[in-house]
Amino acid sequence: MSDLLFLIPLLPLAAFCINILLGRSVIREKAHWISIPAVLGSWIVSVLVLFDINDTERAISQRLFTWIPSGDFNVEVSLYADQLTAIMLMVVTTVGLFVHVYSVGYMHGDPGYYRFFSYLPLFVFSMLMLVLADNLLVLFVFWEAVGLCSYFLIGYYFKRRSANNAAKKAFIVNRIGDLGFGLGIMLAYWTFGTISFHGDTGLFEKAFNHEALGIAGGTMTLIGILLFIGACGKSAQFPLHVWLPDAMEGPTPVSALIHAATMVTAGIYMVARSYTIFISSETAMLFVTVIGAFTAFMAATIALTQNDIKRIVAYSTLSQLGYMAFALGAGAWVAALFHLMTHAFFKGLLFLGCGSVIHGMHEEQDIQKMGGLRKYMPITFWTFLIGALANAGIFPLAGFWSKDEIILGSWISDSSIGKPVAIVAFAAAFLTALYMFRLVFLVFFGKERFDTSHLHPHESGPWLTVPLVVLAVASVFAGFTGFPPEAGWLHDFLHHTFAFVEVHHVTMTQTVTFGVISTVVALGGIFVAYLAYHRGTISAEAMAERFPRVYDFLFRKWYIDELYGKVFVQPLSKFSVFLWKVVDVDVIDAAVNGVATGLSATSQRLRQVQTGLVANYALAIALGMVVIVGVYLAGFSNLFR
Amino acid sequence: MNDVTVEHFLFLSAALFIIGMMGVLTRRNMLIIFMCIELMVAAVSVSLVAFAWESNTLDGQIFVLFTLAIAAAEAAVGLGIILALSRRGKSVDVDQLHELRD
Amino acid sequence: MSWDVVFFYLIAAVSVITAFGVVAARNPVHSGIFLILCFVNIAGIFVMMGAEFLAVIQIIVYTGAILVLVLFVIMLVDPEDLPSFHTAEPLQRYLSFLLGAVLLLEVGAAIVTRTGVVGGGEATPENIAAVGGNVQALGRVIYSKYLLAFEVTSLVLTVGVIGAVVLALPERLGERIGTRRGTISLSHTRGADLELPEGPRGETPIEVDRNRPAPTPAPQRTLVMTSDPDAHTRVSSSSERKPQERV
Repeated sequence: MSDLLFLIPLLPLAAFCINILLGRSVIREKAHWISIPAVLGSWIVSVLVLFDINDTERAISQRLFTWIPSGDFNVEVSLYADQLTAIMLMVVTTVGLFVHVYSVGYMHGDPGYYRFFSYLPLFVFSMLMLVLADNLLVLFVFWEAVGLCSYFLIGYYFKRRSANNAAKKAFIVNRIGDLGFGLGIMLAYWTFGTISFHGDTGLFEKAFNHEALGIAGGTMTLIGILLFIGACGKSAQFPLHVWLPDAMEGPTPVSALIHAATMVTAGIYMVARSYTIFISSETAMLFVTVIGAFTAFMAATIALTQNDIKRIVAYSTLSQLGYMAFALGAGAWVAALFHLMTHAFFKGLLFLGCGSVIHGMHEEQDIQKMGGLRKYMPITFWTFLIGALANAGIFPLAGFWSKDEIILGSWISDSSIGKPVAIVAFAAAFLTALYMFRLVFLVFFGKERFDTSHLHPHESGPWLTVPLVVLAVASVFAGFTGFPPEAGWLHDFLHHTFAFVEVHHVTMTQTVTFGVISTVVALGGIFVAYLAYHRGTISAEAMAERFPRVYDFLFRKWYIDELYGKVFVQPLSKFSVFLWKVVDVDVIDAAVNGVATGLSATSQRLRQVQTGLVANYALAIALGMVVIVGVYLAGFSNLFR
Repeated sequence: MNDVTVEHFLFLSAALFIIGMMGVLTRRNMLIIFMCIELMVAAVSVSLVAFAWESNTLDGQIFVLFTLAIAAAEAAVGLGIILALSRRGKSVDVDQLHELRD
Repeated sequence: MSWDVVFFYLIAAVSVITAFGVVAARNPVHSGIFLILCFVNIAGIFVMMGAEFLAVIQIIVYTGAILVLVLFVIMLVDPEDLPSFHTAEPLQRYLSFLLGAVLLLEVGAAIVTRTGVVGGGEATPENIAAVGGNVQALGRVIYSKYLLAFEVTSLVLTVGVIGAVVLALPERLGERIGTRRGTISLSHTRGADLELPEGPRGETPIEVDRNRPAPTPAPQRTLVMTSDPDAHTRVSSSSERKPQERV
């Protein structure tokens, strides 16, 4: 099986190459016939790998080639698949496959069809290589690659200025995180002398034994924090979260795949992969926890006020990523990954459902202009409802198990702020249910707030609805891989990866208690939403008017974009204008032009030597003669001896 | 100073040469420039003969002889050019002949 | 103080003063006269150095021929009144004076510090007197050691003469020889846009008058070679001629 590992990334890469080279000329609207089989092939091999690893309980690896043979610094490109990787592979290929299928219907008729179906497998390839990477450098390369694909796909509608700006914003904010990540890698190399993960000389063995190796705890903290900064950029944690809502400019399948299921989870994956570094430093874990929890809460508050259907789901993604992050920080490693997996399914489902709604509403995205759509789009409605329930964490759907486990894991963790964070998580859960069902009620229930005579929403075709149904099924049953809590198949499976961590065992009482509390909180949120947006007993508008500043604060996304604009963007912009106007034009251009002008002026003056008068020329001859005689006298005669 | 030495003649030659050179550089009339050139040639002749006298050889005097002959030829041709110039309507003022300028 | 020194300073002074006159005179004819005087003084210097032949040649050739030629050309060229006879640019003037002064200092320094070649040659005054004088000594050297230079110089002189003649030729000589359109003479423009005066018989330098009357033939004369110059000289009242006599 290890020999077939290379097929997993190779097939999507081949699909990309074929589509991008032949797409415009030959393949055109048949591009999906290339991509879908490729991703399907990757999916099949991933399933086989999963079964293989499950049976042997051992990791498999395949060495590809040596990339940098530079003396001591020898970087090889190897594919390594252990249990963590296997789970990630399944997530990526499954969601990827269904997003491909969905895109056939969604992107039908788009002029850049072949382009979409080349970037999409390119992204899948990059993400697969990222999770299969055996060392930090290769991971970093594909980390950048997924960022690049995200840029391509966000800016897919490149004729739209807002799309271009969003793509740039995503890439730039990612880059800021990558700075931290790069520094972390360098520091790790400097500290440990290696960047490869596994083996006796691997990073993680050394990290775990860092005291024995004489590495200071402060260094470990620093490495951990730097790596997590990279994860902040990629997984959109505060303060580098600002790109994710804007990334909704891309087509909805892109949002589903990249910004819900896979790319944003790359940061979580990377932190999980480097867990030995993090467990060596309490400060780093604390850092992760605080940021994760804060992100979870903040995003949930913002989502309450947004009106764009995709943006609400995007903030929901932010919030759930915050959950995963603080789970990592609190030491609930398996819980975080469990939630990663379930979230991929139900968030992917929610996004694809949004796409179906938008498609049916003829590209309308404002939920205030929707309403009562369940009559028109039943399949979309039911699948969306399942996704929303899963997101809110209602028993027995997938989200319930994973979210509950995170909160419980945080509560019982060794971290000093585990319990306060758990409480914050409950608050966020309440808000999650609230905004999710605000969305549901406003879109699918109630009276139509659009002009029914002109706009006739319709259910989407099978290309769109089949993936919705499949993902809905996954959202229902995926949670049972982690059942019973802390003792399910998933836990056993993943504990091999997190070999250096003690397993926390929870009692049945704790499990039931937290389960009940979670459900109550979630149902409370749903009930409030019902009252406010369906029955109208609580008027949202009145609330907004009573607390206008709070409302504005939330609606304007905590003014973070404005803050960044003032603090970073404007000074930089002024600086670059300065560089342009003063340094480039006045200094550099002036210097270059000045050379030319100077030469020209000099030659103008020199030209005046050519008077044309013989007398002047004779004078020059005489002058030269005097000089020569003088030199002779000074140097070669008896005069000065 | 009781005797006339070579240095006396050399100084004279230098003086004559310099006077001639300043005339060449200063005057505007082409013919006068020509005459100053002749003066310079004569000064050099003096110098050559002085060296010949000092070293008891005749080579200096031979040199001067031939220089004289060549100077004669040169005078003929040079004056012919000046004549031709003036017949073509150009003046003999060297300051007016600046076609090399542009 | 020997007479040599006195004479030297006298001649030197005069030559320097006349040289100044050459440079400073307003009228080119005055300049020419000054130059003649200067050359005569230089001839005197030559005599003082034992180069008598050169002194005489200087006066005959240089002064008597070349300078006279120069004077003729001065008169032919007929320069119009020049407003200022020195060059207009002050830079030129000052710089040339400066250069003159510097050069004088330099050459003075060179002269003073030179290592001279004293003696060493064969042409000591005794030897020269033994040969028969400066002329004879020069002759001996020219026709033995410098023969080639002598011959080449004569060639150069020939070329110079031809060049001068070509420069001064009138135009349209080529018409007689054929369809040659090129000018031989540089001193005449092609298009005869200059008005030139006619000759005494009505010929112009541009055209040749083929219809002019043939010149009267010269009277026949016989040449008689005799050793006695007075034998055939007679004052005859008649126009008869004696028959030819042979001696």
